[in-house]
Amino acid sequence: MEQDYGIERRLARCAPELHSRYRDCVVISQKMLSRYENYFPDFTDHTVLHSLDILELCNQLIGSQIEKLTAEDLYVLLMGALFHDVGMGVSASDFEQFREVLGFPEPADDNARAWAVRDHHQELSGLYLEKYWRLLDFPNEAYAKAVIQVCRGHRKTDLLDEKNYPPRFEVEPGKTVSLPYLAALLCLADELDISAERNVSFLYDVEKMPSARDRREFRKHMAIRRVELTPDRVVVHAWTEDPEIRGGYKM
Amino acid sequence: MTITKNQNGSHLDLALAGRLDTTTAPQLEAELKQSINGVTELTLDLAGLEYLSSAGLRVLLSAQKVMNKQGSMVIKNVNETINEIFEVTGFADILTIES
Repeated sequence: MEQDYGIERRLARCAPELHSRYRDCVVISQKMLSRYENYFPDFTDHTVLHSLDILELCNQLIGSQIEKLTAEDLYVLLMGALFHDVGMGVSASDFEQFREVLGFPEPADDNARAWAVRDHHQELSGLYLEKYWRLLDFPNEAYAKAVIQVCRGHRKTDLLDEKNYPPRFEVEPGKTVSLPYLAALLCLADELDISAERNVSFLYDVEKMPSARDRREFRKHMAIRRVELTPDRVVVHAWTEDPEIRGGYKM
Repeated sequence: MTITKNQNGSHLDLALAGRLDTTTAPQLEAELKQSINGVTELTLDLAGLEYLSSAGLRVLLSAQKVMNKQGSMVIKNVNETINEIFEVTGFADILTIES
């Protein structure tokens, strides 16, 4: 309970100016993120609720280590939590531009396009922020680069690559952030945001989901009753009578 | 936490008192699940709310998301403790908070 909003509170206390910049971006991020529903109308929420979950999980994962994080670390982490999925909602024209940069083939139809967005969204988030970072009132370009790397690193990225993820990345003279640590935190929090208890029941009706695949995936998600973080392990509590869903959880 | 409900047609007022946290958030969630259908004006009176955890904030933001589609939601009588939470998280501008 005491860890609630720990990252936000510590940043507000240690660096009110950075916190103010972050705070101003919350609404902007939600407007940008809400476009993901164009591609994934039946996905669980990837806007404000997901950001809240990510930050809550980061707070739990960091625990007392928060004392070791600098204000710059906290700001980059918060901005990463807001914008790591922004690639899920890029416009059609940005998608075409970014697809060429990333070098994957033109999707055959809307469904293939949606899955391409999903599969590459961490890189799309990075490219989106590279293009639009000036809209987000970063203190300087180095902060934007740090957030871009943290967003890219939330999936399918080698965080041990010290060239792209230096442990001491300078954002201001004499001030550094730890890119691999922050990206790993965000990645882990994102992976752990799978618990059914985080889905508010009046938001979703599985029976109204259009495809069998969507319904199956959502039921699989709902079978995960709780994700428990203990000092030495992550315990996932799942329960289902459906053999197909049960099969999906076999390790 | 106690929830005092007052429904008048499509207007629903919920007054919350106590702690809205992991333990009590399901109570508010259940109340909203039962009542929110058909509501066009939802008012949440937080005068008696002492604490709001992430779990509670999630329910408020979810209610706002639903009400954005079917009407409006207003939060009123926010005390200093709860206002500090809305401000520090940055979600103050996503919710409609009546001063």
